[in-house]
Amino acid sequence: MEIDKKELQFLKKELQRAKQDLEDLEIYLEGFFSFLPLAVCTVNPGGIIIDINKAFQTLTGYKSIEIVGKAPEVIFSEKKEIVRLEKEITKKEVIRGLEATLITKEKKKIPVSLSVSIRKDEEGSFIGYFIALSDITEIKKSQEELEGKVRERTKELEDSRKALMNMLEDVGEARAKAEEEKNKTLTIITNLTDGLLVFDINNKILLINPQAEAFFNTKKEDMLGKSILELNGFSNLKPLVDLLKKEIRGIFRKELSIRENLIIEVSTVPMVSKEGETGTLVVLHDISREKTVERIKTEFVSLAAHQLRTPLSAIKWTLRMLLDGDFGEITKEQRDFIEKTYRSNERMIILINDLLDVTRIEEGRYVYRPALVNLEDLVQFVANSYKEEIDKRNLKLEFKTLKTKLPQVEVDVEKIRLVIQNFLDNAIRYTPPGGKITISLKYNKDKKEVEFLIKDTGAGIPREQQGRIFTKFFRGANVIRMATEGSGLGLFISKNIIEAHGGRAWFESKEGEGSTFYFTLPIGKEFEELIKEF
Amino acid sequence: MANSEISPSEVKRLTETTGKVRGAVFQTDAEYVKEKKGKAGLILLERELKKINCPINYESIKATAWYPLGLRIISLLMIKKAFNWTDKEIEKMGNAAPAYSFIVRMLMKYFLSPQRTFKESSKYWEKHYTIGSLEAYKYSKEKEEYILRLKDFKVHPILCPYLTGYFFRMGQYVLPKGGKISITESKCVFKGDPFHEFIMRWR
Repeated sequence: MEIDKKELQFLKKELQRAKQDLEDLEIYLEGFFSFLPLAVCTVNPGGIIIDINKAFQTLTGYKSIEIVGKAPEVIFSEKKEIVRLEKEITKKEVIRGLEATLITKEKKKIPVSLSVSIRKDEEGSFIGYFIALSDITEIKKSQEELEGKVRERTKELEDSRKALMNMLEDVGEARAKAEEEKNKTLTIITNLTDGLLVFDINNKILLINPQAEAFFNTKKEDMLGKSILELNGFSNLKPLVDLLKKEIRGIFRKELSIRENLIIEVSTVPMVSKEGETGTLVVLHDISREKTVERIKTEFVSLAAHQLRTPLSAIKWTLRMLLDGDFGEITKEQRDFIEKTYRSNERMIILINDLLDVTRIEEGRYVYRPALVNLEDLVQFVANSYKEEIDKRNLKLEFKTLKTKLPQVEVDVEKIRLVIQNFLDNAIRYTPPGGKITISLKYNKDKKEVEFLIKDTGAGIPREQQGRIFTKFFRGANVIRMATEGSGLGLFISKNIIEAHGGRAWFESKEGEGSTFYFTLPIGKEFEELIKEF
Repeated sequence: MANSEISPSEVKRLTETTGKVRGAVFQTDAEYVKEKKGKAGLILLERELKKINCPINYESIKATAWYPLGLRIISLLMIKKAFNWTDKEIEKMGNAAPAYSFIVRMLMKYFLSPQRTFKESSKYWEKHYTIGSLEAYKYSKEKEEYILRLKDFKVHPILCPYLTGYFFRMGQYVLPKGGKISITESKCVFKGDPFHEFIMRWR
């Protein structure tokens, strides 16, 4: 067949184009093969590597010349699996993501992900396959790290679980113990002879024991959870609610008459835990019997004192008349005896008067008559009345007056004079000759009160007896020997008078060095209010 | 063949050699030199070729383009001379060539089995050379050998070890795994034979 010139020209151009295309394809494939980061080798149907790319060379360390012509399994640890894979690939055509261990030329083992893809010619016949390898060292490392972390975390969790179990056991034991303690406490509370009321921080009643129920003749079911204001609705509880007030004020041993023959002593105790105040405990102590005994005793003392005072007064005036010569002249010896009898009778009258004062105080009949006075004048008056006695005993009295004038205090003058007399009398009686007594007054503007102080250089009070100094009939063991006179009632009466005026009385003392007694009196209207209450 | 100087007359004679060869063979030469002597080795080779007025820029060679066969012979001779290589090294070079060759990659589909490779060997030759023919003369599975005959190809004896190595690699591609393969050039036109004959055996 003849080919004309034009057709030949066309065929030449086509050939040239095909050649150019082939060259372009070659450059492209070369570049693609060099750049491809995935390590690929071509294996022929006989299971021989016939080509590798640059990435394969980099990963395995084998150059083309070294690996081409060899079987793929030589570069893997799992040789049998690779051989089996070669057999399977003709059926499966594509196998992806198998994990294998590559052995490099330097005998280094690298974990790889292996994929195999079959090759076919234009007629669809099997002509070999590609093996692609990707290094999964980092993935494996991360996986191992992750697994390590998971193992570590699992262990931690297991440890935590064990610890938690131990804690739960401990908590269980603690709960059982707490339950036991609670039961014990409840038993104690239930069987306590004192009544107990527990209020929470919001002043709602949390607990009431049977004794308290009995005191107020109520049932705890009706009271629990109620606020103090709501308790006001119970008539039996009204006296207590009035005493406690809305916010439950601090109370110490306050007497409360619930009904006839039932007097209780109320004290409140704040309940404080680590978290702070959790509520208030109200303790109700039945003092009915003590009060009855006390009343009977007071009545007896009062009766006895009154009965005794009359004959003592008669004796006093008879002795006075004898001493004054109303019944004729008496000898010196007779006078001495009668004078001694007179002084003893006087002491007895004073004692009886003191006893009567005490009974009046205890019966609440110690009536006060308030009047505005200058305390400085009152002290000065008492001090002057003792001047002769002080000189006689060779003592020195210093009354430190203030430069500024003290505000007046509203007091029962007679009673306060008695207090000052008692303090000064004690100081004189128990300070040895040559000693010094100092009196001073102070005005405390902030507290709105006047403070009285009397200091002596006397015998002092033994430390172990200081707690009883303001109780009835108390006399220090070290001073009984010094002076036989003294009823032991003066300080008791004085303290009661001061407190009845809204003041305070206290002392400081050291045995052998002397004592300092103090009292305060409020100024202004406080006293009036106190008198009303009294 | 011993190393010898490439005289200008020899160069002239070789450039006049008829026939062409695919650029792929220059590329495989260059790859092997780089493999053995590094990039500097290739630069040295190019410089030596320039000295004899046969400059070859190996990087610009196209695998599928056709180049003068004489130039390829000069390339081989200069490699042997420049690096003082023996025929054995040239055989190794031939053996390595298929591993680098783009043409070989295209021909992979023929390397399916010893029989198929044997059968298609003439095609393979035609893809590389415009002169000469490779005859698949004999294949014996029983004797475990095949014989290739290269006819009408009397170009230069340096190609004898090169092709020996080359055909050996082809056998490695297809012969049973783990088998021991050997190849010999049993006949050579430069030894008075009418053609080149290569016998490949495997055990």
